[in-house]
Amino acid sequence: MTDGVIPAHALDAGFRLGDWIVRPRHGTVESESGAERLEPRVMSALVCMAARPGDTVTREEFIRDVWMGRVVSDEVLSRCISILRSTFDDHAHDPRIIQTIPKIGYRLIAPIQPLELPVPSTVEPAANSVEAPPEPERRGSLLLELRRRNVFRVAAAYGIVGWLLIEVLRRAIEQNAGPGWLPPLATTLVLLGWPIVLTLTWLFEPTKSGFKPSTKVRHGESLADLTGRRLDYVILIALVGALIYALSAPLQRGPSADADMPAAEPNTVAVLPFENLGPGDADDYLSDGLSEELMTRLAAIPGLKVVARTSAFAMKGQAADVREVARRLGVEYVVEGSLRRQGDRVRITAQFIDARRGYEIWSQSFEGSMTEIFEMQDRIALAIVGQLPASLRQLGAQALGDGESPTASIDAYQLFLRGRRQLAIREEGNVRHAIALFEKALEHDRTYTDAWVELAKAQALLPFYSVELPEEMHELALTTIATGAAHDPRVADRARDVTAFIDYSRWRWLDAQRGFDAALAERPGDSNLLQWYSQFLAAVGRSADSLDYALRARSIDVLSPVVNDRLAVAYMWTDQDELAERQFEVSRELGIRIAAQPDAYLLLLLRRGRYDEARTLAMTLQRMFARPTDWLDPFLDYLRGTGSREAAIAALDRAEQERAVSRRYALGAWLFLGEDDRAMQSALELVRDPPEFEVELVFAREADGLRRHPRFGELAKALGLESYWDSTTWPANCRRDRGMITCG
Amino acid sequence: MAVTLALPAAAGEGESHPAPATVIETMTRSTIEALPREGTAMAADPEHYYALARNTLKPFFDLDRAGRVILGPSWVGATAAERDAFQRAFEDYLVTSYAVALRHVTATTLTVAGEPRPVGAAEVLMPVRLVLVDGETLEAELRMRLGPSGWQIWDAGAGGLSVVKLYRGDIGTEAAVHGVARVVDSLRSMAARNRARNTEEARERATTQTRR
Repeated sequence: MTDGVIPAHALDAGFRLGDWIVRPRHGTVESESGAERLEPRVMSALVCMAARPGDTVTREEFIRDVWMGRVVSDEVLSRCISILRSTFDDHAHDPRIIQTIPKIGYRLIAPIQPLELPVPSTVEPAANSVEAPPEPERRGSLLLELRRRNVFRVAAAYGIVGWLLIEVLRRAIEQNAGPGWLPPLATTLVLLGWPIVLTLTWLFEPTKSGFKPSTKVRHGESLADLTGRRLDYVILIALVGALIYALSAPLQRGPSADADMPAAEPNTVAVLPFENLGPGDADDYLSDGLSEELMTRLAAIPGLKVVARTSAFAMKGQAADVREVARRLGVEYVVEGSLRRQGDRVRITAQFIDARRGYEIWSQSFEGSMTEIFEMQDRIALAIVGQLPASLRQLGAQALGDGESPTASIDAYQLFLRGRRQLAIREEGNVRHAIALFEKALEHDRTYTDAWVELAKAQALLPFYSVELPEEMHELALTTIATGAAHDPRVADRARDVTAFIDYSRWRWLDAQRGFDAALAERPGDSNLLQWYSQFLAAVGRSADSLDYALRARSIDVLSPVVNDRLAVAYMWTDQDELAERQFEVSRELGIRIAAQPDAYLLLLLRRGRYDEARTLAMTLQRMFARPTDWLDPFLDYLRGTGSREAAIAALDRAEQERAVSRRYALGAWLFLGEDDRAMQSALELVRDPPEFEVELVFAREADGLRRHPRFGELAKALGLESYWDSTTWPANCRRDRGMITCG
Repeated sequence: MAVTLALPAAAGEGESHPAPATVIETMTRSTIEALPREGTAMAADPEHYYALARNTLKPFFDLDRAGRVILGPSWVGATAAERDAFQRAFEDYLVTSYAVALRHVTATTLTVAGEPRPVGAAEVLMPVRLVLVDGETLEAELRMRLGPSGWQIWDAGAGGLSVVKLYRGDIGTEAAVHGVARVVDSLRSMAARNRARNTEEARERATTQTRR
């Protein structure tokens, strides 16, 4: 490995990184199997590390060098690293290329070597030599000749000037509604002219008596040198012109760049967080709330897919180009804007942008008092709908309805927005704070439907982020829905997803199914709902469908830690362990903790043979539990193939008798040891306390012995699955034969 | 269990109660001061550590609350006598489980590692750094609640895992399935096994030290 610091220009031309060749100028990384393109920011992060081989680059250094000092969230850097790892097929737990230095940063551990530039031969081949010069020499002399005749300079000057002409023409036509066929024609002509001009440059040279064929130019007659210097000025001036143009029209985009952009899914839109132009961040809740309101309204339009909040808000403060944002979120349109509040007055500016073509479709400013904010939101939403493709316009207008204000109380509305902002941060303190704010909002307006719904959702979610008892909080959430419905019957309908989730948690599968069906019919693009439904499907043995819905959730909410974690688990249940492993890494890079799915993660470690890590995790659990760990090593030794099954069984048996192992882990361990009777005994005992039994595990491949066990019918009945399957459909791998149920 | 719905309050010095960080520092200092000197016969006797845990550490913990949360709905259905028996058995089990580790405590075993994060009007999560017996460092969080006796610890967690939640999955499940009386029996049995093991280990340590 090269030590110390490598100058940036030495890396710019390209460098070897392990078995890969990285070409920063081209934005590509190449291996034997082909080349992959990296986003500019991701490439910058890679170059930033490559410039200091072996050294750890801290988060602050990344921000300084890659984001030019702009404050970005940790998730953004994690995402860059995650993409790089994915590109290099590298893994955080067993790194070959990028090593995570916990709490500090990242470093490259693969060897780095700048690519050597080919040195052109300075020896001219003899004019009358009989023998042809060696191949590299011929290549070197050809390059020199191309350079001497200014072919490269002309190519560069032509390219820049041509691009500039096309862009200016296109902009003029768009602004003046000129003929649409003119820009493509100009592009074609410019492209066709390029080889012709280069051929002429090669064939003719400038002399004092005009252009002459190169073969007829005598020694000392050519003015190619002088022309070359003039061309340098032309290139420089053209570059400055292009730069000025690009800065003055940030939304314009050249045809070559368009070609690089992956096709966005049609009828997709991202509402980016509106910028708060007020002093400080006191009104952030208002600008964020406005974006969320627009998201909610647009998401109600059938056929229009709206990127979820987590992913859209991950772009906050990044100052990224709108096209790049659209590409990362995979959308066709982007809504962005700003909000400024001064006392009771609010000024909102909104833009609707065709992100793929790169131009603003619509832009407007709205101004009014705080009491008019709902009206302004309606006008913005209606204006956006008016710009959508014809097929969506009518549906959009119907979905937006009559624009009824959600509450008559602006105080309630502001408390509601603050609460929703807190709820988006899934930490215990924030969820509790959200609950308090929703309750205060309801003190101002008891008929505020959305506040009742969000309050119930926050209450249902709290047990996942705290030590609150799920059963108690779920009961509280249901009471909230019932109380809300007494004030406004629409609360019950709007909170169907919450009710369905609670039914799922209580193993009331059929009720949950009906609730999810109804909620999904209303809000098919709600990533949280899709993720909950994915959990439900896994629990009722529909693993493939569970994966399908996890993927749907991820397509809407690419940067959500929870959604990515769910996808990892769904991959596990469909036995795609490698994808699951990578997906767990992504969700952890995005900030999720192991504790979100400790059982599934532990299972993954065992599946992948990462026994040392599994041991560390299990040891931590046992130690926190202040329980002996004697059984762990014999068990892991058996899995490693270095210990006997008998020794593992004896150790686990002893541990279970002495209560040195939790029932959940005993069940898993018995399954790994092939002790199906013991496993079934543990399962039937655990199943009596729903919150402690992870139903999804029943359908894991490790639980095969459980599903083929003669008492599986008893378990399926205790879980309530038999009646659910009878009322819906039986999973393809399950059947009932003369009263006995088995699932393959 | 009642849910705290009030806005999070700043977790600093109360009217007359020391702040959470001060409580943790005081607890560590009190433990070290109460520890026997090396080489004394007391050091080899686990009963000494049980007494130390009961007398010195107990005021810093709200075991009553931890026990209620662990039992959950079973607590509501239990009689006063069952609750009392459970609390005593649970305390004895915890003491016999964790107290022997006190012999390794030094000034750096448990240190405050950040500002408290409010999770309710009278509850915070206190980041701490814990050095385990094998030298491994664990970033953990102590859940503390402000009650009439000041800030007290009632749960500990690391990596998002919670000791109370872990116990709820085990002891709480047993109570839900078999009743509180059965849990009390189990806790007593486990405490007795802990005692036997700790005594055996202490004897072995004493023998080893004598040989040296």
